[in-house]
Amino acid sequence: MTTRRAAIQQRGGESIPGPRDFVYITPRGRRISEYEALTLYVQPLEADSPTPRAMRSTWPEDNTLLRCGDWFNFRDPAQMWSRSYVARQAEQERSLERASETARAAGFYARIDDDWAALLGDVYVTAGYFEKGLSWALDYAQMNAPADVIGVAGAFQSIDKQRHAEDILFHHYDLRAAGLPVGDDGRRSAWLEDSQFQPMRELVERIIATRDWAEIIITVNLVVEPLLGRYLFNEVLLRQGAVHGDMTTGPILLEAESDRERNLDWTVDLVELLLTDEVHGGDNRGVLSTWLEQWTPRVDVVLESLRPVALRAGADHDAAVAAVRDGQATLLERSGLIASAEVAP
Amino acid sequence: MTAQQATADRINEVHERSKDLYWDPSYHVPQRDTATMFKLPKRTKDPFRHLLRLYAPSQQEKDERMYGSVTDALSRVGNRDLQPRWVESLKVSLPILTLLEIGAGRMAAILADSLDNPELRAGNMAQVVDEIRHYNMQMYLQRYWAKHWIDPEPFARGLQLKDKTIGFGPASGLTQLSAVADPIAMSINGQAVAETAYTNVIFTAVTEIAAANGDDVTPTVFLSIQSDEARHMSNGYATLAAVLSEPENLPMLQIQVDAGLRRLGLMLDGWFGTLYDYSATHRTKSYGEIWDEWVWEDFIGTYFGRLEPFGLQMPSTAEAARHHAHTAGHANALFNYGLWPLGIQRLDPPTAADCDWLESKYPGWYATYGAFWETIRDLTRPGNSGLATHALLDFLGDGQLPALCNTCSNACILPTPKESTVRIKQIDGVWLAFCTDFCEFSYVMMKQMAPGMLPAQTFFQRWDGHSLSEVVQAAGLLRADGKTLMGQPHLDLDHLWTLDDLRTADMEIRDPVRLYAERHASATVVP
Repeated sequence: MTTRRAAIQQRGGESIPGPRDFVYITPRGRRISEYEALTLYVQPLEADSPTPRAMRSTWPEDNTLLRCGDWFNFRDPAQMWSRSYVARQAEQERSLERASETARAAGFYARIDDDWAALLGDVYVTAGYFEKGLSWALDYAQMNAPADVIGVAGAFQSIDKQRHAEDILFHHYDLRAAGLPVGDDGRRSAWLEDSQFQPMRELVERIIATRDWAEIIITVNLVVEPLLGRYLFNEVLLRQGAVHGDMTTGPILLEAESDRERNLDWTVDLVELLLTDEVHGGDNRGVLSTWLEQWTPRVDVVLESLRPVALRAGADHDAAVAAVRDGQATLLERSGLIASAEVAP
Repeated sequence: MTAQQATADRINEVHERSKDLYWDPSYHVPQRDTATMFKLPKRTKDPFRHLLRLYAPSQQEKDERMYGSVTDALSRVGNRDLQPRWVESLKVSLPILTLLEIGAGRMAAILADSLDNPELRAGNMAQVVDEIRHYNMQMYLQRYWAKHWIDPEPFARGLQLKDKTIGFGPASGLTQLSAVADPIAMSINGQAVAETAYTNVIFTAVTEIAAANGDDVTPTVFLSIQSDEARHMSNGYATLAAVLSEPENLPMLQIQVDAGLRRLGLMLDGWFGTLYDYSATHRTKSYGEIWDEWVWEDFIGTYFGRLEPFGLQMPSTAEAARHHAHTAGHANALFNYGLWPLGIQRLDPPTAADCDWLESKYPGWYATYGAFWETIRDLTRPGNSGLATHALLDFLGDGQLPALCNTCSNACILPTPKESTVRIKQIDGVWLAFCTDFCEFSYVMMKQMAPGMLPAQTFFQRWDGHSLSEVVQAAGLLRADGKTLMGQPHLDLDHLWTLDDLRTADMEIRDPVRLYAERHASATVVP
C-alpha cells in the first residue's frame, strides 16, 4: 500500500479488499497500459442496453463485410490515447512553425527555384483536397467501427489528414509571402475541374461514398497511402524538392510520413487480427483480397495520371512507382495478407 | 504592419481557406443514412474558429495542467475531509458520464460527416477528438479511485457492470440518440440541450459539491472538460442559428426543441437530482436550485430569449421539465435505495438532518418520502429486521415493484409514487409501460418512423421470476470474495451484506407489466 493510499484510507477507515485496477481488461503486455485502461470497452455493447432497440443499431455488425469474434481484441501498437496523441500533434505543429520561422529568417524560401514553386502551387496545394477527402472518409469509418480501440485509431488518422491539409495551407501562405509564383488561389478550381486531378478526385470521392467502414480503412491504409500517398508526397515532392533547392517543404512531408507510418502500422495489426480469427479468418482473407483487387487498379489509374507531374518535377515516374509497390508489398507481407510473389509488379 | 498583425493575418487566411477544402462530390455522391430533413445554408458562422496548429498546443497545455493537478491533489488528500457518501456516488456517475461522452462523440462524427456546411463540419470534427479526451479523462478518474479509494472494486468494475445494474438505464438512452435518423435533431438534443443546458449542471455546478465534500480531483477533471464543452455549446448554437436562417425549418425545429428539453430531463434529472440532493454530506445548493439557475434562467430564459426574435419560442415543455427536475431525483433515490442489492455503490440513506434539509428545499418532501426513509434506517444492517426492498414495496402500497418505462427506463413513480402518471398499454399486441405521456408519445412516434423497432426489455422483464439473490449472482454483483454484495445500504465497513444475508430476506422479481397483462386476456408481453 502506498503512503498516499494510506492517507486516503485514514479518512475513511479501513478498506474493503478488492482489485485495484480494471479487472475486465486482459492486458496485451504484463500490465494494463494507460491506453488500454482509458480506451478499452468504453464503447457499450448494445445487446445489454435497456433502451428501445431503435430504428437501427448504433454500431451494426453488417456495416462491414468483415467479421471478427472480438473486435475489442485490437490494440493500436502506438498506444495512442487523447493525451499522447494531442501531445504528439502539438509537438509536430510547433516543430513546423519553428521550421517555417527559421526558413524565413535564413532566406531558405528565396533559394527555391520558380519552376519548383509553381509546381508546389499547382500540385501540393491541390493535394490538400486529397488529404481533406481522406479525412472525411475516415471520419465515417471511425464512427462506425464496432470497437472503441479501432474507432479511436481511425479518428486520430482523420485528424492527421486534416492537419496535413492545414499545414499545406500554411506553407502556401508562406511561399506566397516570400514572393514565389505559387498562385494566389487555393486551387479549388484545379481540384474540381483540371483534368489532371480528376482521376484523383474520382478516387477520393469513391472512397468517401463507400459505406463499409472497414473497406475505407483497408483501402486508405493498404492501397491508397502506400501507393499514391507515398508516390506523390515522398517519391515526387520530397525527393525532388531537394534537387530544386527546397528545404522548406520537406519538414511538412516528413511529419505527414511519420503519421502515415503510424497509421499503416495499426492497420497491419488490424489485418492480422482479422486473418487469425478462428472462425472468420478464411472469409476475411477473401474479402480483403477482393478489396485489394478492386482498389489497386483504381489507384493505378491515378498514378498514371500523375506521370506528367513526375516529369515536370524531374522524377523517374516508373522508378517511383516501383519503389512504392515494393513498400506496399512489404506492408502486405507484414500483415500476412499476401505473399510477396502475389503482389503485382 | 506589426509582427503580431502579420501572424493574425496569416492565421485568419489559413483558417478561411481551410473551410474551402470541402466540396460537393459529383463523381460518387455518398448515400448518407443520416440525411437531415432540415434545410441548411451553404455557409454559416464558424463555431470553433480553430486550426489544429492552435488547437493541439492549447489542448496539450490543458492536459498537462489537469493531469498534473490530479497528481498534486493526491499528495494533499489525506488532509482533506473526504466524504465517503460523495465518493461512493461517483461509482455510478462516472460510468454514466463515460457512456454519454461516447454518444456525444458519435453524434459529432455524424454531424461532421453529413452536414452540408463546412463551418459546422469543422466544428464537429474537433468535437470528436474532444469527446475522446473526455472519456479518457473520466476513465482516468475511475482508475484513480480504484487505485486509491477504500472500496476499490466497484470502481475497478464499474464500466463492466454498468449494464448489469438497475441504475444506468435512463442515461444510457443518450448513446442511443446517436441512432436517431436526423442529424439536426441529434444536434438539438445533444448540443443545444444536453451540452448547453446540462453540462453546466454537471461539470460546473457539481464541482462545488465535490470540493465541499473534500474531493479536489473530480473538480479538476470536470472543469477541464467544461472548457471544451463551451466550444461544443457553440456548435449547438451555430447549428441552431443555421437552421433558423431558413424560415421553413421553424415548425420542425420548435418540435425538436420542445421534445429535446423533456427527453433530456427524463434521461438526466433522476440521476442528477440524486447526486446533488442525496450524495453530499456538506451541502451547497439543491438540485432544484441548480436546475433553476442553469437550465431555467440561463438556458430557457437567456438562451432562448435571444432566439425569440428569430421565431423560436420558449419550449412549450419548459414547465413540465421544471416540475420533473424538482421531483425526479427523489423518486430515483427512493427506487435506487429500495433496490440497493442490484446496484454497485454503498448508499448512505438521509439522516434526520438531511431530511430537514430536503424539506427546507422541497416543501412537502417529508410528507411524501419521510416515512420510507424513517423506516429503512432500521433495515441497513444484515440479519436485522429485513430488507429495504420489502420496505419499498410496502411504501408503494400495492406490494408490487414499479413498472420500468419502455422508452426511458425510469421507474414509473413520477413525479411521485402517489401521483404516478404511469400508463400500461397494449401497442401492436405488446404490453408496454410508460412513465409519462411524453414517453408514450415518443414511443409511438419512433414506432411510426421505424415500424420494425423492437421495444426494450426492461430490467424487470429480463429478470422476471428470479429472486434478488439469483440476479445478484448471475449479474456478477458480488465482490472478489464471491460472497459479499457489491452494493450496500450503508457506509459501515464492518457490517457488509453477503449473499447469504440477502437470501434470508430474499424476494422474487415479478415484472409488474406482466402481472398487469395477465389480468387482461390475450395479452403479450415483451419476450
